[in-house]
Amino acid sequence: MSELDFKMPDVGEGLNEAEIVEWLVEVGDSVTEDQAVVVVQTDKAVVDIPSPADGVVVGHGAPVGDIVLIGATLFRLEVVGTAPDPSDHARSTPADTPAGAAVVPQQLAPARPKASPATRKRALELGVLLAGVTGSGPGGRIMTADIEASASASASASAAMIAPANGPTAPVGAKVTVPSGHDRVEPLRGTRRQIARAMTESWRTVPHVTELREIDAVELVRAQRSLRAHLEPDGVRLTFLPLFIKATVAALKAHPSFNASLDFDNELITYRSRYNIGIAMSSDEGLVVPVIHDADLKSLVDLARELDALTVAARNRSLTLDQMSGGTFTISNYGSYGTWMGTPIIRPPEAAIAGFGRVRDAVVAIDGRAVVRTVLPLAVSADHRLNDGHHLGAFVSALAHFLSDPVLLISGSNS
Amino acid sequence: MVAKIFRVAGISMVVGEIAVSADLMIVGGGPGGYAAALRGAQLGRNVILVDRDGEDGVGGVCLRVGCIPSKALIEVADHIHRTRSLGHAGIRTGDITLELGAWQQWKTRLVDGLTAGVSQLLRAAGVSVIAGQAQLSRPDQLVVNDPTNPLAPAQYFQFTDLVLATGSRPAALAALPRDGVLILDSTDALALQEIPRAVAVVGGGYIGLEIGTALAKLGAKVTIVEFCDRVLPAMDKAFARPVTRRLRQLGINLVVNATAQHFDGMNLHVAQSGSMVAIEVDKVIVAVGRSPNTEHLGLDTAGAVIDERGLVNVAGDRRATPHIAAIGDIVTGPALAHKATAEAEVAVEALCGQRAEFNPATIPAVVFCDPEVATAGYTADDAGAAGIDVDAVTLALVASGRAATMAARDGFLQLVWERNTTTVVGVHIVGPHASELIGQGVLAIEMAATLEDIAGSIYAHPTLSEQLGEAARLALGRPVHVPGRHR
Ligand SMILES: Cc1cc2nc3c(=O)[nH]c(=O)nc-3n(C[C@H](O)[C@H](O)[C@H](O)COP(=O)(O)OP(=O)(O)OC[C@H]3O[C@@H](n4cnc5c(N)ncnc54)[C@H](O)[C@@H]3O)c2cc1C
Repeated sequence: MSELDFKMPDVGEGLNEAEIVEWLVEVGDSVTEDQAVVVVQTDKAVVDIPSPADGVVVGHGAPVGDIVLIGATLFRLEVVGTAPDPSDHARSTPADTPAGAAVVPQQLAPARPKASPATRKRALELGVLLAGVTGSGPGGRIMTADIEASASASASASAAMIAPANGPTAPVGAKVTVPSGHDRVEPLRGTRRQIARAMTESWRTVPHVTELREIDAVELVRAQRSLRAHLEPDGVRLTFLPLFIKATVAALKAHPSFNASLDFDNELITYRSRYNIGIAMSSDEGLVVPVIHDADLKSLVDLARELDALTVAARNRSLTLDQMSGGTFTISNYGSYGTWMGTPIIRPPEAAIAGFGRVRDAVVAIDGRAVVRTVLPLAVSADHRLNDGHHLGAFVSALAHFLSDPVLLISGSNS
Repeated sequence: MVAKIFRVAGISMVVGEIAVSADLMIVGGGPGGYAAALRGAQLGRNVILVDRDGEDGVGGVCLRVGCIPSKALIEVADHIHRTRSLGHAGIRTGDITLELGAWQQWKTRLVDGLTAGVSQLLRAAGVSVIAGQAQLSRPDQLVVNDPTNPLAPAQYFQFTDLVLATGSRPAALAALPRDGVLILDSTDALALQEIPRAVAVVGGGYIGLEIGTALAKLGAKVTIVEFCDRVLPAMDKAFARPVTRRLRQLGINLVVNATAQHFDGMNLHVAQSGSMVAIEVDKVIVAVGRSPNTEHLGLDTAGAVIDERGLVNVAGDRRATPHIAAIGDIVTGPALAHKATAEAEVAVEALCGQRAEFNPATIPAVVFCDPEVATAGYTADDAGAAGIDVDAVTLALVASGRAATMAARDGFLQLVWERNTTTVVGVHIVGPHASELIGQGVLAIEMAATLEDIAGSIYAHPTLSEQLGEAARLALGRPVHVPGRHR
């Protein structure tokens, strides 16, 4: 028997932390190799972490709701017989250490962040994760000033973007609400936390420019109705969304700077060759954005089927990391909530996002006469660093063109 | 139903099935409970504290039958013993004895004085103290009964938040059921009116060792029966060694690897490596640990979980459910008064919506035996098991001039530090006043002090506290009082 310190593995995409969602194995219970021990949630997905060996779980690294950094102890395992190299879990072949030999942990854990009780308390108050702060004190000790600097750095970064330029500077901690009476306070966790972080990141770094337009959707509605009736016997539920995706891909092909990403730090623009369209969906936990990969290569029927599958997976929280990543452009179909118009927020490093409002009948002027037409409200937000107003206008025009003349979409040529 | 309304300590109460609405309730008046009540009051909450014994219950086990009475006994026993044993330093004594009856009166006065002090603090903070046995009747409701009077009507309280601090009681041994006369628990032992002639203490943990040592110094013939192979089995072996030597010097009979089976009023029968040993004693004191008071709290109604040891499962902020926290001897961690008090602050702050977490770098543990043992942080072994790369030095007590003036030679100070940063992660002291000295070690560990921080601080001379600085210098390879060691 030997004890193994199982570190939080890198579950992909350069994520540096994960939240404990559920302990599937209690302390003192035994596990078999590859049995799931704990469910963690990263910025992208919910992942089961399996045991690297047969043994008994002798310690949890953190309680449910806590955030664990990659490389920090996730759980401790009293290994039965031969212990595998803890860093070698992915291969999970039996290690060649002799049976019963003690495992020398590859990387010895630091005792804990070097900080006094007062500093730790301040970190807790300001919501600063000690492990992420570099200490300026002797021997790398984290000082209260380091915590406050870390907190105010993020506070002022957001204040600079949101507050009017000449507005008063908010002191650190001014955003903290002191609970009173029967106020309920709960930690920001799970999907909500990820949404909060992603939105803050986007709003802080991406200068948005948004164009709003209503387009004639008479032909679009007619096409959707006839396609739906036609496909229904095959069990395909054709909504507007596959048509929106098709039109979007066609417009992106015509305007590559909208299917691009900006690396501002290295001053590089990447024009993406794939058309991976993220679809904003609501789930019980909040917004999730599964991705339809290579949408340009898929038929309307393929798209309809994949959308159904993703909707179910989003509802069951079973979206995989793959299904959640790799997007190049995002669509928000907020019309399905009854929304007329919205101003969608870009998901960096994507360059733009399109929002589709509710299709409705409206009185419009045509040739000096008031007529009732079916209209589709459209909103596209773009990263102004990559595209200017006239680029945006051209992209929205292209989108409008394909949507108002959907025959172009079913031609299969997309252009 | 007609509701009777009357007033207790300033709160209007409706008696019967109608619940009175309450803000923050605390169950248990021990070091966990009363500290929670005071912190709640400081944070502006309306606090009601329920203890089985009402006003008399404040202070809990610690003040009434634990820490304080045991230390009062150890103090006088130690005085007598030291005075007697300093013949070589010129002290001439006649026959010194302790009149235990008189000591009991003194102890009662001091306990009553301290209890009254706590009551006073609670009153000044506006905390209402209620007598009765509390239990959850619903996730947000507490029913309080008078255990001495089953006919008395129960009181119902609808609370916003609740802190449970119901503590623990002596664990019972089926083979040696307590009768309070011949077979005693620690509470009975501290209430003895006469020093027994011969007594067996079953259990060589800290409580048994403390009481056994004190009684031996007061003249009793003491036998300690321990299941494991040594006393203080929960602690590092190095700590037990000087203690065992002193136990022998005091004439204490140590029976280890042994199981007490039966007391016939004359002999305690003990099974030891396959054979039976009879130990002739007047009384048997059972001190085999403590059992948490969690079984009749109705915690399951609130969805809280009690583990197989009887401890309440809690999160880092000591909450078992969003509105119920548990602290002290009924949750994980060492069953010590200062841990209960520290958790109280965290739990109440969490229930008041503040971000709080019980995450000390160390909780010190002290055994008031002879010599005293005090430990804080990692031992070299623990650190290794936790995957922390450490180094350690041990400084013998003989290097201390002050210890020599106290005629104390047996003991040491051990310093453990993280190898690459030299941050101190463990301080362990065996010797006189270790209980007081450990505070420096705790501070060093909590502040993440390095060896240079400790070596660079000046300690008054001649004191025992100098040992810490000298140990750090020894670690750095430049000791003053240890020959031939430098780096
Ligand atoms: C002999 C002895 C010596 C000790 N020495 C030390 C020492 O030197 N240092 C140290 O740190 N610790 C020592 N301890 C341990 C210390 O006493 C406990 O850790 C401490 O008292 C725990 O505090 P607590 O608040 O959890 O509960 P307790 O002090 O146990 O208080 C719990 C209170 O709750 C009440 N209660 C229980 N259930 C209910 C209920 N359902 N309704 C209403 N009231 C209820 C009880 O009557 C009691 O008053 C010693 C213990 C003993 C027995």
